[in-house]
Amino acid sequence: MRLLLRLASIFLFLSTFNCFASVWDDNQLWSVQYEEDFSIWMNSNSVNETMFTDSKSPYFGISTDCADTAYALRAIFAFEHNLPFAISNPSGARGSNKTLNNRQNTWNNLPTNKQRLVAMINEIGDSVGTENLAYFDTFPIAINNIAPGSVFMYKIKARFGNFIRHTYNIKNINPVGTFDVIYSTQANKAKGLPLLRRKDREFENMPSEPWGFKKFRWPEQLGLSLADIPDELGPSLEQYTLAKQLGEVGFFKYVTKTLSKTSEPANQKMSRLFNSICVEAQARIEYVNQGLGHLLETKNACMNYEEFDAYSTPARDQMLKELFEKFQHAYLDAEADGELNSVAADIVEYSEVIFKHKSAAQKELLSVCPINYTNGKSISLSELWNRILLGTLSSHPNDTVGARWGESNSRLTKCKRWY
Amino acid sequence: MLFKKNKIILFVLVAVIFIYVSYKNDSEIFNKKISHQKTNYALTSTSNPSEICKEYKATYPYLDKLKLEVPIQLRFENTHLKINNKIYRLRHFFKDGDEGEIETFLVYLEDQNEDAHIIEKSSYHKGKFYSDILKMENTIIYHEEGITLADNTIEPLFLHYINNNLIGTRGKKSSNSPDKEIDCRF
Repeated sequence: MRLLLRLASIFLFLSTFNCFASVWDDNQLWSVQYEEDFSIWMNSNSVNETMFTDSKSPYFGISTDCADTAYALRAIFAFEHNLPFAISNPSGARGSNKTLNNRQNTWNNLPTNKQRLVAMINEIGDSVGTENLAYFDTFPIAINNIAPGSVFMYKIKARFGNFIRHTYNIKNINPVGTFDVIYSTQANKAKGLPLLRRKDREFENMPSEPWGFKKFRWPEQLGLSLADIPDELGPSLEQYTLAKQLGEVGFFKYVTKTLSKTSEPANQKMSRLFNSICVEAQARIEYVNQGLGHLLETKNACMNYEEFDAYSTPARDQMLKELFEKFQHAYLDAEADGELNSVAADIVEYSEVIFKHKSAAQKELLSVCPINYTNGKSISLSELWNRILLGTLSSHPNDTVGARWGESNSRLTKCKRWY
Repeated sequence: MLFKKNKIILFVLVAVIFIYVSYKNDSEIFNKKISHQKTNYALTSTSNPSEICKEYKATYPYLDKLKLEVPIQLRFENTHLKINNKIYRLRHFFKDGDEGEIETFLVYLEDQNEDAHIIEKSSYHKGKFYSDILKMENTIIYHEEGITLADNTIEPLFLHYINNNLIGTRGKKSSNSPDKEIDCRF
C-alpha cells in the first residue's frame, strides 16, 4: 500500500509539470490575411499603454524598451492566433537553434503558455536592440504599404560620435497621414512604467538602410534577400531613394500625402502641433525630475557615464526644439497662405505669444499649458521657447532644477559632460 | 480481498504512468520534429547573388583579414565556447538608451538541447563571469560578428561574419556610391 501511495504521489508530482512544453503550439501559417488581422489588432484596444503593467492584463510582467516592444507585440499576436513566431537567434545560430522561436522548450519550467510567452519576450528583451530588428528581423516596405503594425526605426548621430536609435510601433494612421504610435524607452523600462503613446506623431528622421519604415519577416523569411519576400507584402527600397531625392521635409510630406485620406487643414494642423508641444514640454518635467531624484540619492555626486546616459536629456531637448520649429512653420505657412482666419482664435493667439512676443494671451497660455517644473515655479510655452532659443536650458543631469529649466541666474555644474 | 484491490489499483496506476510516459515520449518526438523544423526557419541564403554582391564577397571575404586592413566598428559579437564539457555563449552588443547606446554583455549556458539560458547580464562593463570565462581554458566552437566599416556615418556598410566568413552585407560601400544594391546574403 505504501508503495502504491508513493507511486501515486510521484505521479501526481510529475503531472504538475508540463514537460517538454513549447511556448505555444502553432497550427496556422502567416499569410497576407493574417498581416491584415495583425494591423486590425494593433489598431484595437487590445494594444494599449497598460497591457504590460496592469496586473489584470494577461501580459502583465512583460518589460520592454523600444525594440523589445515591437518584438513583444508581434509575439503576442502570433500567440493569440496560433501562428509561428521566430527571430534570428540573438545569441548565435549554431546547431539546431538557428532562431529564437515559440517551439522552443527553453521555458518549460513554467506551467502555463502565457507565463512561457512572458518569459520568452523578456529574454528577447534582454538579448536584442534595435539593430537586431533592423538588420535581421524586418524588411523595408513601400510607402503605400505602411500600415498599423509596421514599425518606424531611426538612427541619428548624437554628440561625440554617439548614435541614438529608436523604434516606434505604428498603431494607426490618422486620416491626415500622421501616426498614432505606441512605444517604450530604456528609461521607461527601468521604471516599470506603462508604454508611451503619441496619437499624432510625425516623424522627422530620414530613413537610411536598414532603418525606416519596415515590417516583420515571417519565420520562413529570415535570412532571405529582399527580392525573395513576396510582392504582396510590399518589400521595397523606394523610401531610401525618395529620401535622397526629396530631402527630409519633402520626404515626410510625401509620406503624409501618400497615406492621408483627407488633407489636414491649417486649423487642425496647428491645434495638433500645439498639443504635441504641450505634451512633450510637460513630459520633460518628469525626465528632469528623475535625474533630480537620483541626485538626492547620491547626494549630488557627479554622475558617471551610465548615470549621465540615464538622466541627461540632449536628444529629447533637441526633439522638443524641433517640435516648436514645426509649430512655427505651420503658423508662418498659415499666415502666408492667408489661412489664419480659419484657425481657432486661441491657437493663433498662443502662436503669436510664443513667436511674436505678444502679451495679450500670456496668462491664458500659461493656464492652458503650464510647465510647472518645481514648487511655485511655472512657465508658459512662450517662456520655454524663449529659453530654448537663448540656449539656457541644460540637459546636464547634475545641474540644479533652475539650470535644467534655463533660469538665467543659475550656476552650471562643473561635473563632466560625457557627451 | 485487500490484496486483490491493491492489485487493481497498482494496475491502474501502472497504466496511467505508462500513458503518461508515452505522452512524454510523444512530446519528445513532437519536439524533435519541431526541432528539425526549426532548421527550416533558419537562415536560407539566396542562391544567385548579384554582381555587386559577388564583388562585396570578393572584397570583404574574411573578418580577420579585414580587421588588419581597415578600421571597423563592432555592432555585436557572439562567441560560443566549450569549457569542461559545458557550452557557454558570450554576447556583446548595444542596447538602445534614450540618449545613446548601452554596451551590453551577456553570458548564456546551453542545456542538452542546445537552448541557451542567460546566466549573467551586465551593462556598460563586462560582468565578472564574462571576464572570467575569457580567461579559462576554452575551445571556441562558433564566432559571429556584425561590424560596420568605421566611417562614422549613419549609413555605413554593415558586414556579417560567421566563423570568419562573410555571410551578409547591408548598405553600400559609401553613401554616395551609385549602385543600388544594399542587401546581400551569401
